[in-house]
Amino acid sequence: MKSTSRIVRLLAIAVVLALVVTTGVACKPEPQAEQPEVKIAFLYAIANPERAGGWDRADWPGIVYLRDELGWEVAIAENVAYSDSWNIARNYADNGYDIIVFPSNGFLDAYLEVAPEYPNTWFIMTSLTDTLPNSPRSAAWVPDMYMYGAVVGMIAAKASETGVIGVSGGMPIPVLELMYSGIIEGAKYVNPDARVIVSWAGDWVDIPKHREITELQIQQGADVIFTVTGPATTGVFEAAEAGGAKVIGYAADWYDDAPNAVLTSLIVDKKRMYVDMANQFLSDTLEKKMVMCGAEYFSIADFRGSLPDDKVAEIQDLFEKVKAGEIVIPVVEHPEVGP
Amino acid sequence: MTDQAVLQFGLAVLRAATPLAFCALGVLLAERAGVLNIAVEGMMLCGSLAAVLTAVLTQNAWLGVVAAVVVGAVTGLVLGALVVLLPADQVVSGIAFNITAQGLTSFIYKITVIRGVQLIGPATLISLAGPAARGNFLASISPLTYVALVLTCLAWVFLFRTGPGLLWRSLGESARASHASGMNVRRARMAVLVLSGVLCALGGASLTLAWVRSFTDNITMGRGFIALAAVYFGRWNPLLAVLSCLLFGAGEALAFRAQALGSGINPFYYLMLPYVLTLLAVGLMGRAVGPKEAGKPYLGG
Amino acid sequence: MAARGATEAVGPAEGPDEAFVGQAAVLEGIHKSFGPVRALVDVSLELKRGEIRALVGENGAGKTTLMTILYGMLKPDQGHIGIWGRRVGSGWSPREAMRQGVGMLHQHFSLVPTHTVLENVLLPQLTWGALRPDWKKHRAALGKLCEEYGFQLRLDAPLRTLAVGQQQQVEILKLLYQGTRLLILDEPTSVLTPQQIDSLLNLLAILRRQGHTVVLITHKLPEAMSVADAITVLRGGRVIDTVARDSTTPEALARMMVNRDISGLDLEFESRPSAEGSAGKTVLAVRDLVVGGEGGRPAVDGVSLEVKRGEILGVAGVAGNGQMELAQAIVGLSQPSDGPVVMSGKDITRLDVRGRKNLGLGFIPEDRHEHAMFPEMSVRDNLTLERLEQPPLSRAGLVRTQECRRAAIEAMKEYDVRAMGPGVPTGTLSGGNQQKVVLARVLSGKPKVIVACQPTRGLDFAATRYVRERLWAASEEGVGILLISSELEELLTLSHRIVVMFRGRIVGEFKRGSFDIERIGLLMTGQGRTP
Repeated sequence: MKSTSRIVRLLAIAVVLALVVTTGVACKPEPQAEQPEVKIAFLYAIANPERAGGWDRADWPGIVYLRDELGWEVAIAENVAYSDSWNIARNYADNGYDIIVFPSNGFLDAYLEVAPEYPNTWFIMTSLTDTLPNSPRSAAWVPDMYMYGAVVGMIAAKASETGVIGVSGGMPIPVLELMYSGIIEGAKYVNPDARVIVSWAGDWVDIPKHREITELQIQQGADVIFTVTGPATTGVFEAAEAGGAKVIGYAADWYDDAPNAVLTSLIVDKKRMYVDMANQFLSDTLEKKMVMCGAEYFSIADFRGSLPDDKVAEIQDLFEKVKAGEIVIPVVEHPEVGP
Repeated sequence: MTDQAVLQFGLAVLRAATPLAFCALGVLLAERAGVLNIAVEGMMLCGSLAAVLTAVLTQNAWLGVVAAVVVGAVTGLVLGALVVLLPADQVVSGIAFNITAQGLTSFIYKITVIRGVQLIGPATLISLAGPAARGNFLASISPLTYVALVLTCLAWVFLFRTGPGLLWRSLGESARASHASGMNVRRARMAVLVLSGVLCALGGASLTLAWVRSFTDNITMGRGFIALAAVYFGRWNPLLAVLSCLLFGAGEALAFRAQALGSGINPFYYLMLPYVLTLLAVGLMGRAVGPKEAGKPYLGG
Repeated sequence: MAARGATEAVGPAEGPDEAFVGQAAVLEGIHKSFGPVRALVDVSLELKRGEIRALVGENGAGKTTLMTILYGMLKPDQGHIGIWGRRVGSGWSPREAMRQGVGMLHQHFSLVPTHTVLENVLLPQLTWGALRPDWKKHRAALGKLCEEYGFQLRLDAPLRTLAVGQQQQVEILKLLYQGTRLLILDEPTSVLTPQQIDSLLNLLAILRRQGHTVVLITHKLPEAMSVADAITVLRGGRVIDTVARDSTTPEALARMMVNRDISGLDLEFESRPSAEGSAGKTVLAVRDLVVGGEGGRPAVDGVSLEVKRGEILGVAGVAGNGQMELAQAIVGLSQPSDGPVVMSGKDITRLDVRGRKNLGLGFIPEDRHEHAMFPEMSVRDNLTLERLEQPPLSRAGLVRTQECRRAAIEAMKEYDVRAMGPGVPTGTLSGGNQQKVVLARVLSGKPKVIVACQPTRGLDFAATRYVRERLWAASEEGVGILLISSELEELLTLSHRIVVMFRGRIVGEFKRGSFDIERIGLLMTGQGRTP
């Protein structure tokens, strides 16, 4: 009896292990049928980047373009812990990938350190960085996050009736502190009395926490909300919908996520970065460089009736002027947005 | 603080405490019958996903609750098969269960939800009277919170004032004595775990249906373990355990409010509050003696 | 698992059976094996209504197995069971047995320590369906029952606050309240003081008077002789004989039990000289030793004692009066809050267990599995564990397996450890052989002092005798032994001196030659203290 129960126990463990393993395997992207010419890999810190709110999701149109229109083999590593990013990048390089993309500032260290080890592989950063790795084949498309914030601030201040804007974030990383300073300055440009409340949740995934933070901001008078976080964005939507506030989507068009809660989105055209990169790669003109991506990479999504037309026109007008360089928001850093 | 702020604070506490309360009851009842339910976190996850998916499919939040109950019962049976019938080690099985549940729920969520982040439909479970309740405290509370409070009182009366409650506690204090008095220990514990699974799944359902109306990978974020701590803090008494859940809820609600008030202290200290409370609870109650049999498999009949 | 083939085995049909009429219970041709071990071989037994039957035999003779089959906890491989003149069916289980008035008092109580007496007694009456039992009615009925049998029990007292003897009464009360008319008691006296044993035996007589049938499982012949109407002897899974009490003697029974002449065993010890005359220097002493206990009251409260070279000092007392705490403080498992522990003139209070061991302090713990050995590990590992670092068992820091094996085999031979080989897990050995392993390990360390706690608990005749002889031999070689035991007979047999502990204090001391069993028994229960 003793030995049979031991066998049963082993079986049970095996079943559990099998479940875990199959779950992991099932998450892997299916390989492309045809033999592709170019192999490209993307590293993401979160699961389901195509669905998560925020920066990573803005990659998706670009990834679809590379995969479906150019027929490249695209590998996507999800849930990459920052500490694992070195080895995962090396692994792709060893396996003959031509291009490895780091779409997040969090992978900066791995980007800088691994690239010099593989001078024949392209290492691309599509996020904030001020240096390039010591490798001939490295390039970065660097969005101007301060200007991005300033435009968000302008839209928010224009749309807000109370003059209070709720801004929340997962963790106070430098990119966000810079962007949120831009929001304050942009809002002040439109409405000198505008008040921006900044709160940090302490993580990117805890939906209930983000919900509570947003609800609290609404209780303090905020009627326009902006948030940069991970999967926890739904918590922000829920609170906004319940509290009658409107959310400005970050980087991608968020309308479909919460039609009742989204005001508009300030889209970042990351696809354009990838199209440029691909064209240059294919024509052998890709070189070591840093491309600064300003307002010309931004676009405002359809308001879909969430604001009166005259306000929408005012906002479009402001944005055109920013793009044309007629309005310049000087860079002022607000250390108080940090913790 | 204004009246409105107090009211909102109270609601925030209840919102945060309700999932904990369900899970604490589930854990407590299991431990009172001699089974350590570490799997609470995984059961909660399963319940929260089942509730969300069903609510999205049927556009009816209450059907989501029903789905959570069914799935919770199944998780109870699975855990029971592991720790009562085999019986495997309760801690290890619980951890394995949690890992599996996390992978499984993430996977199912990924293949079933076509559109990205989205909120589920009608918010009928967030407050009793819906948006009309604005300003009325009692009408703003979730019906699931009421259910949790009623279940808490019922659990207390059952455990300490009825005959079957005495049998239940005997299971947790001495499986041998229970067996000797004619009880089928394994069958009883299976039933206990099914009920425990249902309660933990309800905790998950109240998280997704009555709080955030959405799901994501590992949405519970360790709340099941906080419930586990609440049971210790509450000395295996349903009333005290749910009271400690309210305390943890208050810690969580307070954390954001303190940050919003801008007291100049780094907000991350406030964000630590619920977890520090948990640590303190376990630390202070380090010597609390729970049901003797909790964690021990019963090899007899 | 045990139910396999039960239908064929237990009987074709349940119902009245002429063969069983007039008997309280009948067991017929019972066979039972556990794997390769044949626990019972063709055992038949008839119990008359209203008799007290003693079931005697060594450990492993099958007494308890037989009775758990009667009680329905185990299913026999073959054979029939009849209760009150009816053959029982395949559904025979403890629940069914209880329904028919068969109850069993196990060696380990089946009580819930946190529940009250009332709740414990009522446990079997409760059902999942009945939400509100009639507590009042039960309370009144129980009060009456207590009076009838002379139980002094407060029904609302939590069980854990009760002394062992009272807990046993609760267990019996529980059985009686369920309507038990055939009562099986498994070694009921092993946990009791002499006075408690007397009152238990009295209770059995009362039960008989009221028409109950009683089976007393015991290995203590005097008990069997004092109260039983008839005595059945089991040996090696077979019934040797059933004899009327009046037509036998303890010596005859003992012969049947072990199949060899054991008379004179105790006399051998009796005739040994007291060590007093030849007493050498003190090898172990504690002075005003205080060890903290639970609830503020010290577990050991100012104990002073000395063990001389070659002396066996017995510590008598009911379990839980500070003896174990005393032993732990001496061997270094706990720190006393006051008072030094001195070995051969050297203060060892600050040394840890290993330090004391190295000075020659051997320890035979009470609980073999918890403290004395690693049941999962092999006999070889258990025997050599403590000497592993010394040559020849290891060289250059590496263990030499062959040397260990040789040393283990040697020790097994010397200490008569019977096992398939040195590689078998120690936990699979019989209790006696396990204790021999412990003994071998302790004695092979050439100790100067041994603290022995309940060294023969749960051992059978032969093993008990072996352990006692080794301890005696050690004392003759000059080892001082502190012998803590709740078996008074053991202390009387071995000790040169006996001290009695009660509530953490020493309440009496007796020298060999002037041992007074009555007084020792009284002192153990806190009575008859010398003013």
